[in-house]
Amino acid sequence: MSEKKRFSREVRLRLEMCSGCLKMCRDNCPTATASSSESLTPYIRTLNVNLNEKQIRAYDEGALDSIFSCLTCNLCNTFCLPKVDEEDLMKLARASIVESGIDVSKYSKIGESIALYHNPLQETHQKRIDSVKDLITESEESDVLLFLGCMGSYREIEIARASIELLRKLNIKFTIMQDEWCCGSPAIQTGFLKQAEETMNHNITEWKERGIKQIITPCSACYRTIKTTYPKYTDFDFQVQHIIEVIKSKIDDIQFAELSSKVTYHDPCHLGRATKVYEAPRELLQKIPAIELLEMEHSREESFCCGSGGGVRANFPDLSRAVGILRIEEVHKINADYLISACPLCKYHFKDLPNKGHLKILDIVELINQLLII
Amino acid sequence: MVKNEEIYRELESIVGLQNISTRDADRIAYGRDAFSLKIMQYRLPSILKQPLPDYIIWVESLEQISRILKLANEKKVPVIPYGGGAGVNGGIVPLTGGISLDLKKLKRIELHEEANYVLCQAGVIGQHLENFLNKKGYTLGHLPSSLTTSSIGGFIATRSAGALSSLYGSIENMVLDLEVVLPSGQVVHTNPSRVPRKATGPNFNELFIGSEGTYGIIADACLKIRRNPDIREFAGFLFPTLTAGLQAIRKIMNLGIRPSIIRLYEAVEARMVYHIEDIEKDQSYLTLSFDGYEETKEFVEDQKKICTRLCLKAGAKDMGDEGGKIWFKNRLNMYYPNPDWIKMSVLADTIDVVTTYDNLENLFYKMKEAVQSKKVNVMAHWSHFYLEGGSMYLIFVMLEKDTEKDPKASNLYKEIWAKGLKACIENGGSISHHHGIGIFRGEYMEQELGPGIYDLLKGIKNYLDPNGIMNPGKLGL
Repeated sequence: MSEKKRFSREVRLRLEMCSGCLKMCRDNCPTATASSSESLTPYIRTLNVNLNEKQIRAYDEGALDSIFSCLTCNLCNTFCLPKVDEEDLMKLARASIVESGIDVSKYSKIGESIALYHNPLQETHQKRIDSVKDLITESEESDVLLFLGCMGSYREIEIARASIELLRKLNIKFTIMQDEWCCGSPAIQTGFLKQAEETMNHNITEWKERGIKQIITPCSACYRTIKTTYPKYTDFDFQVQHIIEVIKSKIDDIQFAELSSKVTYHDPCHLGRATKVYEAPRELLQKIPAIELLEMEHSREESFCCGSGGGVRANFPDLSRAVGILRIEEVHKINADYLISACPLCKYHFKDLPNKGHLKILDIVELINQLLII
Repeated sequence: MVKNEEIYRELESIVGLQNISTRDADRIAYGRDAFSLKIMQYRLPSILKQPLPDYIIWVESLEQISRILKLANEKKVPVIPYGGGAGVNGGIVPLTGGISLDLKKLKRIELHEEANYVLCQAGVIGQHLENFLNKKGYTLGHLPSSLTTSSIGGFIATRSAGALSSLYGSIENMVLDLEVVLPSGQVVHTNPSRVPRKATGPNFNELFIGSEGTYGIIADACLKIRRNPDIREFAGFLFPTLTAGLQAIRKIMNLGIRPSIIRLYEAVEARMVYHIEDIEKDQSYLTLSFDGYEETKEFVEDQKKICTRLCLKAGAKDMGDEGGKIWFKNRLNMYYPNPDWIKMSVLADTIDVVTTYDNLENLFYKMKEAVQSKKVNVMAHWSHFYLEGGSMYLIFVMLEKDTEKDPKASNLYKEIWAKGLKACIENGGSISHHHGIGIFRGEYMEQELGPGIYDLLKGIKNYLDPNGIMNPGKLGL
């Protein structure tokens, strides 16, 4: 244990509050609900951090598992009166753990992959835009960048392709960066800040060199990170928009084909609670003729996490699935035909889970691209 | 470190590797509930000296509970049932180690609408059951302050009461049947026909309600439900004295009116809760609420009118409905950690006691006198009313730092509890209305129950649990 206190007085107070709480947010924590374990609750996570901070009890594997298994969805904060901001506390704790030299190899897949491959998925960097190459023409020059993100580039290719097609249909000129690196979000969420800084610096340098003024992305994690974290690292001067906001700005000029189905929208944590974009996707979906838009038991600021955030999908796959299954159950309860999200990771995770078979899981960009009438 | 490899292996063979832990971090997580002393100890190096379970087990079926209890009996290992860990008396603290048996994976809910009951497994969190019922138009009517964090099994095992108890009753009034695993591993039902009442000897629900895990493990409950009210009307009154407020409540109950919320505050707490800055020290503040349905709207209005008339006649000032509405909306807020209190090392706790109307005021003054000092402030409110009396929440707030070498705060805290409980018993009160017994109150159980009944409590324990494996050290056993 280090002799030096690592956290500010303000952070220590938040740790003290959360770890001594009467457990008021338990009924909402996705990992606590899915695991039924006290150890995977917000207050026990902060207790582990607090005890290490006070040099009472050093981190052991159990404490580290508790801390690294937080989805960083911050749903608990919605129900926290003093707003201790568990997500922030977990990110601070993880970063300090990584920095301190404690063996974190069990949780380091994402950070290492970003350092080696510039994406958290251990995919070859050179192949990053292969999936959309046929849609890109060399002549496209613009100060508007479509930032595809790692999930769009490697896993949810249909979202990346739909984003390109959609922006074209809306007559928005844009460019795609051949040498796009991870936005840094997975590294930030899991505490690997050096790797995050490296990838952020690369992107910023590239954008500046290419005269980029506006960044559009279909990924809610990229959106949140570029919009809220990048400015803390650089003299940032880019306009950042989630693609939903771009489409929403054209809402009066667009028409959709009918969709006679029950549709529910899952608020991604990064786009909802973190950046408060709740209405734009709903307004767009409502505009689709014949659609029946249903809300799940938990939505907007109370939305349940998909189960894949905070590195949990990579590091604790069983827990990640268990949380996702709870969310899919909410979809089934309202008999929705479509589960729509606005985050490639949410969609990718949902697709991986068992459902009753008839449920169609799509990103909002894909749905809109399918239904848009030019 | 595994305490006993053989026991570990046998437990693992029952629940599987994914449902057992002996890791220190998990053991620490299961050593604490919402007991103020425990929370204080968990802030300090003293956490390392706290009793912890040796094994954490998550059970997924009734059969697993039964097999574990048989094994625990054979090996003489203590078993502590664990629900939400939200009790305020250390009820789940494993005083002699053993197995902390987490029941939260037992979360099935089954609505029987036509019979007005719900089958609910012990591990369901109270708020989750209430959400489920509300969606179907029903309520359990049980809204304790720990609703978001405690479990159905915990409500029953601690004999809990909620904010609306004056109308809907406490948990014992909601239980139709319990499925209990006895320490021998045998599974029994306390009222298998789930009938509302019967004259077939003693009511065996009552044997397990409030047994705090000492008589067996409550695995499943059949609970009465009711239509969720459409209307909740509030009223607030400022009385010239505490006596006038308490007398008004008795008169309301005598008229057969049952407000869902009845809360009377003495001046110190009223000032804090309702922000009535100019309240005088003898005055008291009463909040009432009246529940009903669209179809019974007039009935609700009439009850409110009658109570208003009665209170005004008793010299009260009508304070309108805003105070009650705000209180109900924010009723859980005071249970969240307060940054200013943490900075100042404030420790607060509640001694919930109960007595008859003729003694409620006297008991307050006697307990206040016993507990209050230069270092300890006292306030109180009265709630959970019956035809004969009600409960009193004596809240004490102390300012004292604690250190490992000089545990001033924990000593003072224990001293306050001892003085408060002693004064309660000496002045005709009962030592717990709904928080239960847990650790501190155990030593007063013989006095509380009287020698004959205390012997019966122990005798039943010896019959059901001859090896004393079930939650040792609780309920005065």
